[in-house]
Amino acid sequence: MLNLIKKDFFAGYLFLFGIIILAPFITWMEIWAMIDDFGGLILGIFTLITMILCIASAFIFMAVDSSPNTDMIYASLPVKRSTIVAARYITSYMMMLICFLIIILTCFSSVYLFNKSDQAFNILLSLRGIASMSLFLIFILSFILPFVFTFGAGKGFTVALIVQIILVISLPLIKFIFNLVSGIIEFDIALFSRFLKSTLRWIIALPAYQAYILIIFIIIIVITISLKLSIRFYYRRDL
Amino acid sequence: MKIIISNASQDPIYEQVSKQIKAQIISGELNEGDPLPSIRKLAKELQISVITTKRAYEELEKEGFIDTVGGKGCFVAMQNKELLKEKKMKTIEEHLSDVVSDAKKLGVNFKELKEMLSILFNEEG
Amino acid sequence: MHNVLEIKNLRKDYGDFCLDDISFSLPEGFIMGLIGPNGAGKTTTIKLIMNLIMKNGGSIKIFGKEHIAHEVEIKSRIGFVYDNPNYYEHLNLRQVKNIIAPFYKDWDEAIFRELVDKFQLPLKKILKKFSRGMVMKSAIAIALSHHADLIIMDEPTSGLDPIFRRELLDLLYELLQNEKKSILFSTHITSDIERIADYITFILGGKIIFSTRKDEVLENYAIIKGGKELLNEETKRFFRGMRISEYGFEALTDNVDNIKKALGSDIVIDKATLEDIMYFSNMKDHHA
Repeated sequence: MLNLIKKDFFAGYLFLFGIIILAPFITWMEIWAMIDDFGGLILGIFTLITMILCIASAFIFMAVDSSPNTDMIYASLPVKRSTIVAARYITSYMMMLICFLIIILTCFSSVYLFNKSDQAFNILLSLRGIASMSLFLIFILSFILPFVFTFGAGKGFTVALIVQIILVISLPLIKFIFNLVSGIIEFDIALFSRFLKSTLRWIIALPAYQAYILIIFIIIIVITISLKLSIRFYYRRDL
Repeated sequence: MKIIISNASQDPIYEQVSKQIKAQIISGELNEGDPLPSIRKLAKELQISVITTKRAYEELEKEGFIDTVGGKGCFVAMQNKELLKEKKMKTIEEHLSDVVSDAKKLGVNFKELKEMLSILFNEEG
Repeated sequence: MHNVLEIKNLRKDYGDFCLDDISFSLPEGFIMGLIGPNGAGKTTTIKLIMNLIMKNGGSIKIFGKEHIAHEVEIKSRIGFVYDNPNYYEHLNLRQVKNIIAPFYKDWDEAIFRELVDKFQLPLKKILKKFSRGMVMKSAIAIALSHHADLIIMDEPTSGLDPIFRRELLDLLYELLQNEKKSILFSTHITSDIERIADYITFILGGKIIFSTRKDEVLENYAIIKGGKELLNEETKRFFRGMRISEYGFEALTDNVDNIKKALGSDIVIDKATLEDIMYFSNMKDHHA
């Protein structure tokens, strides 16, 4: 396992340096451009760019491996495919979180070193803000990775993206259907939504540390499911 | 030991190998107890397959020319003096029978053949 | 004597092409040539052996063990060379070696260095600058540097000049001095393995035409040449593949004795090379 993790960093060292330099650079540019030119941080765009950077970082090692098509070589070495998948998970999440950490540090440096601050940072740089962004990033990566292992890096990423877009677009559609259905089976749906609401209220009312434990628990479950799916699909994949 | 393989020959390669080794045992170039190269070494030196050399050695062992000592390799077998003489005679007999059949085909008669034999015997020291 | 590789009723369905009921075995200590034209199924067979693609049926045993259940154990003893080896182009040979070597318990750096010297491969030049032949040699060097008991090579000589192809042969002979080493060598350049191969498995259109000792193949097959007047419905049945020219015919037979009896001495009987066998067997219309 360690070999596989090491080799990702070893073979992808150029990309690694790229991220370490590019991430803070882009973030600084954003912050200064937004604060200087627009008077304030545009949270929506900032978070979007941050997320794109972080997800992209998660994929650098897959990019390094895609052109030589080293899949065949690693699958011929004395190592299980599940180990290959697990190692790739570790390095992908690692890179995503490293990039995220770099961006957060850049934000902090901007506030405390360069005095470029904005009240948006209060939300962004709070523990809750960081936690929810990481959670979101982990969810997205966990969703994309099984597609990558089923279809290959390029295709998989594209398919995952398309699926996500479809889900987002169809949200109003789902809501419409939901309303339609709830009109017909009003009693059951009402019960379900009441249960949902009371669960949510319970979660929000949790003291901080319990909430965070719950979050960690959810993360573990999500990643595990994602990992199991990826392993299953990768075992069936013809290389 | 000398072995030359000809690709042009009609004889299969294993036969070429076994015939040449046999000839050298009969003529005395290879003596009783002399070790033979392993089948793998021979294959490598002659650039033929291992199974081919194996078959050549199996033929030789069947005809009693070599012995396989488990773990040590193949050696020229102890040749019974009588048996050796017999084998030598047999080799010549085979050659002669080819000559006789050719002679008959080409219309050379026994008297001419005998003369030819006597000249050849006398000139080749 | 046991089999280092045992394949039974292997099947792989690709829709328009399928590998159908492939069975053959390679006894330990020998070299088998897997021959066939491009697209015949050689690479598919090798990928199935290495479990790079999923089989649709049949069984594969390597070193006596089921190849998927004991995959890791088996692969640590296999050295592989693929057609078109793909390594990181931005790295040099030493770096690529440093990535691959740790996966093998029995990696032998001394042997690797020796081979790199012998093949004259630069360790510090990036792979992008390597010629195709050099990339192939690198793959071969890596495959032979961890005391593998089974070497599997898929077209290892394509792109290599005839001189290196001979040198590779010498290397394989050297390897086979150890009777515990076995080699599976897949190629369509049959001259490469014509001399060294102990066994030949011929694949055509996804099916095994024969899998037997090379000596037997070369003894039974022959090229028959003669005048066209000798051809009729009956005699045509003896041949597998035929070429008719203005001045006569030449055809492949797998039963020389029958031909001799049927056509007598009005024909020329030539030795068939593996290439002849491949060429004539591949003809669609066997009765031209």
